[in-house]
Amino acid sequence: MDKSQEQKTPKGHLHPITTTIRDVVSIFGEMGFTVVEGPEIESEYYNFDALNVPKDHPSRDMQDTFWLEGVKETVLRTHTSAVQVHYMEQHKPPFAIVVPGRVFRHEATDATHEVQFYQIEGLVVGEDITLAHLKGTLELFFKKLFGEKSRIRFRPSFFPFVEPGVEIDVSCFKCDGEGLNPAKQERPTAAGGLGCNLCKRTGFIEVMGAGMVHPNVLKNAGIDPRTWRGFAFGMGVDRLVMLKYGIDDVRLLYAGDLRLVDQF
Amino acid sequence: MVVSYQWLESYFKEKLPSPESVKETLIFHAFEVESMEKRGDDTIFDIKVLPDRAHDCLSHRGIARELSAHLKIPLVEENSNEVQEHKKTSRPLSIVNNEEMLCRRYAGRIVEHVTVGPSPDVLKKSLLGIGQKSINNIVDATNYVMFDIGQPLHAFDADKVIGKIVVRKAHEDEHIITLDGKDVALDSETLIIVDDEGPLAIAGIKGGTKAQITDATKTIILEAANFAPGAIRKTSRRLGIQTDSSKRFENERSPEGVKEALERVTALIQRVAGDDLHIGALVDIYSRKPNSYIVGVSIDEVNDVLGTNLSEHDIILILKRASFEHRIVKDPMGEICGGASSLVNILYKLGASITYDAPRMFDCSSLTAYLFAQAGIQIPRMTVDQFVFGEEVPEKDILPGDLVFSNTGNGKIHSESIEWMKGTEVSSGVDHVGLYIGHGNIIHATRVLNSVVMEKLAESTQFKNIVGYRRILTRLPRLRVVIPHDRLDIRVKEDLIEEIGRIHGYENIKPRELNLAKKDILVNKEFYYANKIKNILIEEGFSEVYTSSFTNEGDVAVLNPIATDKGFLRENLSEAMFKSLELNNRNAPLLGGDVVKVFEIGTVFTKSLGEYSSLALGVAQKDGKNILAPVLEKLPFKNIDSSAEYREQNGNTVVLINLTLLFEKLIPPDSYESELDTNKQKISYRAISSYPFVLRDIAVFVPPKISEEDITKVVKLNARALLVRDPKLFDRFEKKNKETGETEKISYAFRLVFQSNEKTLSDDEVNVVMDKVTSVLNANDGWSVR
Repeated sequence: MDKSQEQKTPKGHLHPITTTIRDVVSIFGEMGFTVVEGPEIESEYYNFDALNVPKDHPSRDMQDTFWLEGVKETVLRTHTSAVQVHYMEQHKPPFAIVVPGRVFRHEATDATHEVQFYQIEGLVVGEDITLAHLKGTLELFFKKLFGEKSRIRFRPSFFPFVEPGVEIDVSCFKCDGEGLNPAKQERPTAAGGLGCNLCKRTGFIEVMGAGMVHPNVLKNAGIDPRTWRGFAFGMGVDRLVMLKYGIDDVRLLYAGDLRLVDQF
Repeated sequence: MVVSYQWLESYFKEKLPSPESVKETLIFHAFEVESMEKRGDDTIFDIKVLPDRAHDCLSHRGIARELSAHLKIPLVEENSNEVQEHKKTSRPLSIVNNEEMLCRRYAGRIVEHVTVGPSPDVLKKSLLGIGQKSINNIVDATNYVMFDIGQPLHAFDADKVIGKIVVRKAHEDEHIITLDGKDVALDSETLIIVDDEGPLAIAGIKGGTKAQITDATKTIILEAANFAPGAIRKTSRRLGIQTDSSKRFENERSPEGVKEALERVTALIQRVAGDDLHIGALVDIYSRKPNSYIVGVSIDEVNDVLGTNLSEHDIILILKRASFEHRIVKDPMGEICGGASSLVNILYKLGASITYDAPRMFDCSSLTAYLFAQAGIQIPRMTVDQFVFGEEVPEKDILPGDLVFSNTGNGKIHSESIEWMKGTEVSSGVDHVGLYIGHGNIIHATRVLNSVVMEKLAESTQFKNIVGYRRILTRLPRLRVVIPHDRLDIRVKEDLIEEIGRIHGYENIKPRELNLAKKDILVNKEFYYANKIKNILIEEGFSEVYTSSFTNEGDVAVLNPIATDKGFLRENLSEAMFKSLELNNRNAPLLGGDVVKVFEIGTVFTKSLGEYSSLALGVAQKDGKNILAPVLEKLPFKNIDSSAEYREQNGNTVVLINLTLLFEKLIPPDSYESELDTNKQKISYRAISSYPFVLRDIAVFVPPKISEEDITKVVKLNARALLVRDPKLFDRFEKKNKETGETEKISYAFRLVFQSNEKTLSDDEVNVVMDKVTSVLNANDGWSVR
């Protein structure tokens, strides 16, 4: 072989979860959010009690949460929200944080369920924070993540640590929220109908849970809810990655398989 | 919750909008609608009722109430739900409740002269519509009422119930044959309903065959009860029996709904199971009846949370739409003081409950908390917490409605707060509180006089040692809302604000920009360096993997593993890294055929070091240290070699680094620089084939003027569909004229990788492609496949 044919070292590839976390964190970073991380092994207190999850709530069951053997009241965190109260105990408001990390749920694995996945949590506490600020913040975020045309909408939801609680839908980044419009359609849906197959013809995709921080959570962290209010949101990174790239099996993300990673 | 559109329609006189728009309304104001399906002349919705609304919305009425509020259509109550004139029976019904905390209410009544038989078509149709079997008119009636208003009910054959009905826990050796014929062994944790002979039902979960309704049944006992949610949930899981009844009880229901349900089912049975029913009086065992919950909110508080500009008028209209009993409290302190005066002489009881004992009994702080709650102001329940909660005022400034605290020196003196800002120090100690009502008078509940009393503050023995005066700051006026008994989800003002927000519509909330002070942004050191390392490693040709945190051995064990080989948390990344190297090495041709290099940054768990962040680098090569060591040198650490741990296995090499330890020595940077940048090119992901790939080599002589690209273009064009990646050149040599030394022709050798997404490729299939490629290559002038 002559010199001109010598192989240059091929560049390696980042895992799509890494790049998605970076993109999300960077956008919030520009808005003034600080990145915070927390432990994957967590006390029952920070994972549940401090977040206003009732003592006999089903999510604490062995069917839903991994508990450690031989260590009392200790779990693998089931959400990055567990970092909230740690941070609030150590910092005086106002603040805005974004918390990426691995979380765990005890459930049978299949193409759409893994026992481990990544979440990104956001928390803002200030004197005059409102639900309207949550809307403004997330609208800006999704415009930056998926493009200027993105729109969001709130639907009522329930999480013990927020009140009011909402579910956030973002306009489909594949059909731009057109949903049923056959012109935007690429191929027939599984049901044989026309329309966008990513958002299942609704024009929107469910991406986040959010809400105003429950006063009990602020109180538990030693922050007076009469002076301070906040909003919080959380999203699943894996789901975002799967939707964005059309990956049909979440388990592939944890398989150590470069046939996936090297495509990114 | 399966819901019928026609059933919902029965709640309204006005016409409901189309099923499609009912669905939209529910989605944006209440619940997700998982499916909507036309069934005959009806439409059936599957509604995902949120867990905080399972108290009231696992019922058609609950959903109808939501629609009424959101669509501004009034609900109508049908008088057919009321029991019509009837003969009475004096046959006795005796109920004993031995478990007051687990069974909050148990009520029943005898109905004689029923005719058991098939239900009328209307009733059958309603149940079939929502996917329920029709059993007989009695059972169908109880089911109908449950799906209608959410309260589970049960009917026993009264002639098979011997003696008293008793609510108690089961004995270890007891068992019951449930209505579906299963023999269920009971245990001492299980709450059951028994008669003198044995179990009749598993409380709140499932009935037994002993007193089952049959065609021969003439007399029935109708029963409705309320059970503690946690106990029902645990029993239901333990026994593996989930029913429509257990689902409702485990999500908690208000005991207040029991009587209404019994009246409704009686009225329905009157219509469907006999013309000459003899109906007994209601026997109602209900010792702990809760007070209505009162939640107050100010107009400003609503707008401060929602970010809206709603007026008092707007909010009142919303509360009307929700049918919430409400009024404006213009002068809360006046009401509080007036309310206190009317409670003088009421009995004192230490630990009196505001929910169950007020206004019959109080202790000092339940009195003050109750009085404020009545005016729509929530304050903590305990004295010490009220002390910390209130705003300090000097003695000379105290006003009616202020709280006066003392340390009586007698009994339990608290020196720090318990629920409000837990642990706030109260150095003086505090154990007593009273309400100042003006003119030097105080009203307080005291054990000394065993009642609520009004006294001169200066003369009260319980206020000899006053430790402070506190004011509860509130903005006026307050909207005081009496929460309907089945809305167990509304307990604090934020819950009420959510209700107002939902009815107002979240789509009507205008987004506002968040203005954060951006200057004091701190860079997260660990996050920054982890990403910097990743960037360096991909430059060096390493690809990043994520692997499972669970493994089959380690220091930290999981109590409830998902599988037997996943009982531990990983103590290192090497095991998974070796597996990844082996997997990727097998697929090396698919990946381009170079030496496989991977890395992972992840959390590992050990006894000695606890939880820490680890970096693993792997190369699919024996003695790979010579490849890995120079890469480590490029990472931003000093003396990294001393903390590197190399491992080898099956011809692969891995190095492990404890990043957490190394990060400690680094200083945090001022900014993330470009370390979080990502490739913004559009990526189209191709699903990974689960079928094996096939390799073929092809070498071709071409004239010197032909380039490598010229050949690959032809190969790709003709091998197309099954060819996985670009042909990979693995050999090239020039054939020179022996005399002139000039290049006559060049040989290029390529490796081709074939794979299908649909099947395992046979040799023949690949041969067809290769033959085509060969013949096309050979067809070019001066080209010849070797």
